[in-house]
This record gives sequence, structure tokens and C-alpha cells, in this order.
Amino acid sequence: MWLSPKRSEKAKKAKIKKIWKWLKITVFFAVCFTLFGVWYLNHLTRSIEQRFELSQKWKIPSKVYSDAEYLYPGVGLLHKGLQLKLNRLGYRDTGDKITGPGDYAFGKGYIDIYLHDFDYPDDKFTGFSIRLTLDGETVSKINNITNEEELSTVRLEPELIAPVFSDEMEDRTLVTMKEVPQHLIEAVVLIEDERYFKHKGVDPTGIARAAVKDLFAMRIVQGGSTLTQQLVKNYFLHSRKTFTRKINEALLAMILERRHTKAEILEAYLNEIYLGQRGRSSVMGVGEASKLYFAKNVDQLTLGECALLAGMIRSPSEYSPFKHKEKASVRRDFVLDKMYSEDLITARELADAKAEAINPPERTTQPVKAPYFIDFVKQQIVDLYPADVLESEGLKIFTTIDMTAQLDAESAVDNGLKKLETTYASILPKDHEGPLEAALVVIQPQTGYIRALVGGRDFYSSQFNHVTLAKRQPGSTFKPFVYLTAFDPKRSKTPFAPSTYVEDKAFTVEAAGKDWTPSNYDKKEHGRVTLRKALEQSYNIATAKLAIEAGLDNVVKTARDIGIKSDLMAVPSLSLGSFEVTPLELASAYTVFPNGGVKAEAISIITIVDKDGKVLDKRSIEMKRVSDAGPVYLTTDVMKGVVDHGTAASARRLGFKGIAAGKTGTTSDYRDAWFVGFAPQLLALSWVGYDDNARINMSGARAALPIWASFMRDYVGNDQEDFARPGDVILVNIDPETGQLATKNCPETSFEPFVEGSEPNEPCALHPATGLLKKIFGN
Amino acid sequence: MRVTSCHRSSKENIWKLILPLASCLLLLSACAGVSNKSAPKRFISKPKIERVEETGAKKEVIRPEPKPLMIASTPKARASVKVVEEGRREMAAGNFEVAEKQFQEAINIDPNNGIAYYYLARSEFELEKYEQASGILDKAEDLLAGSKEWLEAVATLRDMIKEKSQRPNHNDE
Repeated sequence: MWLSPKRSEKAKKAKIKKIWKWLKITVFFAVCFTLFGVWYLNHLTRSIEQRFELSQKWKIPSKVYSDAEYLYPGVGLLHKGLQLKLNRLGYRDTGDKITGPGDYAFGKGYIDIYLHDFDYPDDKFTGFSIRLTLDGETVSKINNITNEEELSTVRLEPELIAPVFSDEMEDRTLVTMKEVPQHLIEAVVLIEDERYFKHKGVDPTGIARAAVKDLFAMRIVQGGSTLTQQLVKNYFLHSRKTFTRKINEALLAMILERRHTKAEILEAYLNEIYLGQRGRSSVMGVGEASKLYFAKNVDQLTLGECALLAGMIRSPSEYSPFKHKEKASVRRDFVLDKMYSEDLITARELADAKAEAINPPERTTQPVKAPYFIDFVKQQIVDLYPADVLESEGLKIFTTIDMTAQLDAESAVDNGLKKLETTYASILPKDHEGPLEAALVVIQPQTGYIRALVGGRDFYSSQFNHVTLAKRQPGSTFKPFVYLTAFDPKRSKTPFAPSTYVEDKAFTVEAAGKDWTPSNYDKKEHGRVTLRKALEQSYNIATAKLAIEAGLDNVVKTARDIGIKSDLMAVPSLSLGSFEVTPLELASAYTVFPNGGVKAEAISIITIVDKDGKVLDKRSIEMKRVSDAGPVYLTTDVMKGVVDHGTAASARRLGFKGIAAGKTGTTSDYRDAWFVGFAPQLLALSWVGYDDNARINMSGARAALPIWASFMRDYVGNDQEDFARPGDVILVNIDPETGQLATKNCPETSFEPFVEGSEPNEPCALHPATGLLKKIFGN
Repeated sequence: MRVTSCHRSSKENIWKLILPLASCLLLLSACAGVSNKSAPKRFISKPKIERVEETGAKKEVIRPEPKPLMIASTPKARASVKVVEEGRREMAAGNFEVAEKQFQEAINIDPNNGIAYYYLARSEFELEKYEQASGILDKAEDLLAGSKEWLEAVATLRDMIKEKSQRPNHNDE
């Protein structure tokens, strides 16, 4: 069939038109694709640069530290629990000799420690090895092992109490390439990406080689991902294996290699790589992993440790020196052999590194210690450093806490509550909704440093901090403020002394339009008693009477002066602790007793520094005299009697033998049990009760005192240092029956303390002295 | 001759025995006399009782032992003194903030080191924290009560604080 030339021309034109149309479509799509490609590459580049160029590539958790601890000749070590402390600090027991930072060894009559480096605020400490020569359990001498210099003090670095994590829970210590040992860099490159310095982000040769190996093995034995791809995967992408992710990974790796040097990428990789778990948090990067597995900084790693760390990247859990020492050793030796075969190490180095013992430090499984204290610290700085700053800026917060005291306090609360619940199950209310709660706070009176804080029974069940937030009636623990007022001639309407008599006899007084009649704990009246006895036995009637006689306004003023900030009213029930206070407020007020009338403000934070060590905030000790030393001493002296033979005498039966003073407290209907007690150098307050204010049916002596005594027994021991008597307090020999000066005829006499000038001047009227002439001739 | 000499020496020996025995007995009886006098129950070591006669009444008083300045009397105190020395070196170099930290640490080691409180107050003064300096001096004064020289130093510093803090626009915190 022939087509007319006209028709064939038409068909030709149509064909050309069709081709042209397709060409246009193709060009259009090609242009679109190219444009999209360019846009997408640009987008990827921008997104990479936005994150990678940031000065802060990672969220670095802020870290809260305890106070540093000092060792010096004469310090007892058993009491200090040195070995436990070294374990908590991540030191490792290396048997009989130390070889590097973070090692310790207990020998016969000595302890060797290779101290860690530590960045203190304004002071970079470089670790060195020391020998503590022992005389029994006491340090007799400290020497620098290297130069044998004798040292007067050695500071053990602060303990990490808790990191403040973001949701990612990643723990990381940033390192620079300068800090990372050459052996570690070589081992990582060799074992993870041999051709790292040859490829441009993606390594087709490596992929092909891996594919062949996998094919022969019929399973995946080698991955083809380069270090750059691994970094990109961890840093920018999700971990799901999808085709798009793989494409993106390759593209991003190539972009990264075009824009950054190999050294920059490697540094990021060494900081980013996952290297195991510490409890719930992930350990990221070689810096943090060195601390976890080898108790040292990355620049202090040995060749064997470098090889092991590099080998662990593939599977941190499988080669963990904590769990699988054998596997870890095989993996390390494999890396070392490979390094040797590549001429990176000598035969001697290989043999030495293989001979290194794999000896990780004791594992710390509880990442957050002292949770209530940490929470309290965060609350105080929330305005300056909100949660997102703490979670990402890598601040270091140095606090006043003493971890040995904190652990003793936590154990005292835990054991104390369990014991109460088993021993007094029949007294406690049945099927009470919430658990029995307790709190314990420990303060160093001279500095106001909070040394331990247990805010409740279990932080993970209830975050309510009973030490700092609970407002409870203090009951009889308020009484010492009444006595302090009465013993102070400058405060009291009429001056009193511990030997002064008062009537413990029921009375009624009108307060706020109502009659108020105080009664005693034992529902009895005790008649004429000394103020010493009234406080030792915690008599309510006598104390209420004393408060009225000393002046209720004056009592309020005393309480205010020594730091009670909560609402107080000058009503008679004030004397028996009817106005609510927080345990911290009460403990802090009590510090004036062991501190001779000087009040040091309670503090918990000492210094905050940023990740580069720059000091951002510093709190210093603040104190001032709030009471004369004399009346403070008289009150303390009487409170010693509370512990020795008063309402808290059971402390002695509970095993606490050191010198101490204190006061029990029980609120009406047994809703709160308190004990506040102190030795010259330490004060502790314990409280037991229910959150809903239900009755616990136990007194302060029964419920709170055992917790206090257990803590003091463990932490303070049997210290016999007494409270210093101020210069204006004299002891005068009196007749205890009359309170007047003792004569030869008084059947019983005792020396009682008085602020000089307020002592009695009249001889005992009941047993007057009879002179020789009177004896012979009579009156 | 030999016998005589023996006789003589035995006589001498008897005296040699009797004399020390007698002196021992005397000493023991004296001691018994002392122990019969009952010491106040509150004290383990015998305190010095002062007898004062005022308005016709005899008063038996025990004053506090004068507190000697116990510099470096215990290991803790010795360690603390060393840290104070370091702080003083920092202070002399004009590094008052570092010195302040050292003195706080010295107090932390031995809270009874009065000299550490004095120097802490001194460094607070140099840092123009006058209120803090004054409060810390309260404690220093207590602990340094046994030394006239130190009390004078405390008084001088107190005067300096007073003078500075009375000036307007001081940078006290």
C-alpha cells in the first residue's frame, strides 16, 4: 500500500512531533530531577553543616559532684571506708602493685594509689602515685612515690553523684584528637575501616570485598560501611535499615568528606561511637568509655587497653571486660595481632600488651545516687540553669555532700523504716494507703555544708522531698529555743539557769480567746523540777510555763534570730512546737548550738563551672553571730543530758557512744516523730511520719532516734570531743535542792553551769554553814 | 675482819630496806588522803576549784581552762594549717578568690582552726564582701580567744571592715 507523499509527510511530522514531545518531557523531567537533586544535595549539605559546624555537636549532660575528701597523716581509714570510696571513684584494685592512673593496691602496712587527674574549679590537678603508710588503721605518713616527698595532705577527687541527662540518656566525655593516643587511632581505623585514609566517604572496594566475604560465608561477616558512614548513621540518621537511609548515608558521607578533613571526621567518630551501658545511660565515645572500663582518661590508656577499646566498637556488650573477660581478651589479642602484622607495633609491644591483665574497676550500677539531694540542687539553680541547659551544656556542679555520710544516711533510713515496720507492725495503722516515710539531713555546723540528705523513703515512688518541702509541727524539738531564750539574760524577762526550779503543775492560760491547758506526755504532773530535768524529760507543762515567764515574744525573736522563717505566733502553744517548720529549717536553726551561737547558713552548692572549666557561680560560707555563746552552751549542756539519761537515752543502748546532745520530738496524737542531735562537728535530724498526717503511734525516741543513732554510730563513731565551754560560763557548786551556793552541810552538791554574773550568791538556806563558834556556843 | 665487814654491811642493808619502805608508806597514806576528798562527779580529770567569798557566802567556782591556741595539735589541725599556708601564699600573690577557696577547705578539714576563719574573713574583705567577712570574724574571735595577738588582729580587721562598709557605694553582696 502506497501512501500519498502528502500523507507520508504528515506521518513524518507527527512522528517528529511525538519524538519532540517525548524529548521535551524527558528534558523536563531531567531538569526537574537535576534541580531536585541539586536542591536535595544542598538540603543535605545544609542539614549536615547546621549540626556538624555547631561548636557543640552533642548534648553533654551536666554532672553533680560531691565534696572532695582529704587524707592526711593521722586520719583513720577503716572509719572512712577508703576502699569503698576508691571503688566508687572508679579506681581499680590491681593486687599488690600499681602501674598507672586509677590503680590502687593494698599491701602489708601500706596502700598505694595512683591518683586520677581532675579538673577542679580554677585548678587542674594532675594525678601521681602516692603511698599511705599505715599504723594499724591509721595513716602515719603519705609520700609521693615518684620523688619520695612527704606530703601533709592529699585530696581525693569529688565523686560523681549524678549526671543530668536529656531523654537520650547519653553519657559522654568529649576528647580531642590531641588527647587520643596514636595506638587507639590506629587500632580503630585498622579494625573498623582499613581504607579510611584512601576513600572519599564511601568505599566501593570495601563494599565489594565485604560482599565477596559475606557470599563465601553465606552470612554477613563483614560490613562495607566506612567510618564516615558509621558516623553519619549514628549522628544524623535513624538506625532502621531502609533503602532511602542507605542512599542518604552514602550521600551524607560523601558530602561530609568533601567539606571536612579526615581528622575532624575521625574526632567526631571517636566521640560519637556507642561503647556500652552504665545502668540506663549509654556510654558514648572513647573518653567516657576509658573511664568506665579502665578508670582513667583516654590519654592514659595502655596499648592493650587501646586495642580492647577499638575491638569493642563492633559489639560493646559481647566484648565487655565486666561481663566477658575471656572474649574481651581474645578480641584484644586479635586487634593487637592485626596491628603487629601491619607493622604498627613491635613484637615486644605486642607481647607486653598481650600480657596486660584485663582488670576493670568495680562496676557502678546505680548511676543516680542521692536523688533527693540532686533534685534539691536542681531546684535551687532552675532559674539560672533550666533543665535543657543542664541536660546539654556539660556543666559541673560541685556540692557539699559527703558521699560516705550520704550512703550511711541512706542505709540508716532504709534499715530504720524496715525495722519499725516489722517491730511495731501492731502499733502502726493497718492498711494505710501510703508507706511510712522518713527523712534525714546532716549538716556540718561550722560551715553550714549539707553533708547528707535523704528526702524520703524511695525517690522513684515519691519525689516529694520531706527535708526541704514538708511542713510539719516540730513538737518538743522546738523546746530548746524556749530554754535558749530563758538562759539568755539579754533575751529573757527574768534570767534562768539549768538549776532553776519551775513548777510542773497543770495550769490554764487564755490564748486567742480560748483556754489552753498543756499536759505532759505521761499525763502526770511532776511538781517542782529543775529546768535541766524539765528539758531532759521533755515536760510540757514546765516548758510552757517557762516560755510564758521568759516572754513569748522573746521566744519568737530567738527562733527568728537563729533562722526559723516559717510563721510563728507568740502564743503559749508555740513553746511545744505547734507551728509548722521544714526539717531543713529546724536542722539549720539547731546548728547554732554546736557552733557556739554562730549561725552558718546551710548550703549545698559550692561552685558551678561550664564545660571548659570557667567558673559560672560560686557560693561561699556565710555566717554570723546570732546568740551569745553562754546561753547556747547552757542549752547544749542540758541537751547532753537528754542523750545521756533523758528521753533519748536509748541512743546509748542502740550503740552510739560518742559525746552528743539533742532533743526528741513527738507531736500531738503521734503524727510526727523527730530527733535532732549533734556532736561538736556534726548535726543530724531525723523525722518519721505519714504524708497524709496519719498517726504513727510512736514517739520520737522510738521511731526517729534509732535512725539518727544508727547514722551517728556508723559515721561519727565514738568521738569523745566535748563541746567547748565559752569563757563567760562558770561552774558553781550548788545545793541541787535549793539551787543556792553549796555549804559544808549540804548532803548533796553539784557543779552547775551559769553565765557569769547570773550565778547564785546566797548560801544554801536549808543547810546553812555552821562556824566553830556557833557549834560550841549555839546561836 | 671478813665477818665484821659482813655484819656491818647487813646492818646497812636493813636501813637501806627500812628507809624506802617507810617513805613508800608515807606516800601511800598521803595519796589515800587525797583520794578521800571526793572530786565533782562531772569531771574525769580534777578541775581547778576557785573559792570566792562574796557577801559573806563562800562560792566554789570552776572557770573554763584558758584555751591555748592549739595550732597543729592534731593530725587534722596540722593538715588544715598546711592548707592555710597555701592560701596565704595565694593571698600574698593577690589571688584572693583562690585563697578564699583554700581557707574554706582548711575549715572543711578542721572546723576548729580559728586562723583559717581569720584569713577567710581577710580574703572576703579583700573581695569586698564585708558582711560575710564580719560574720566569719565572729567565729574566728571565738576560736582565737586564747591568743591576745590574734584577738588584736581580729579587732583591727573588724575596724577595717567597719570603715570600708560605712563608705557609700561599696560592692558588698
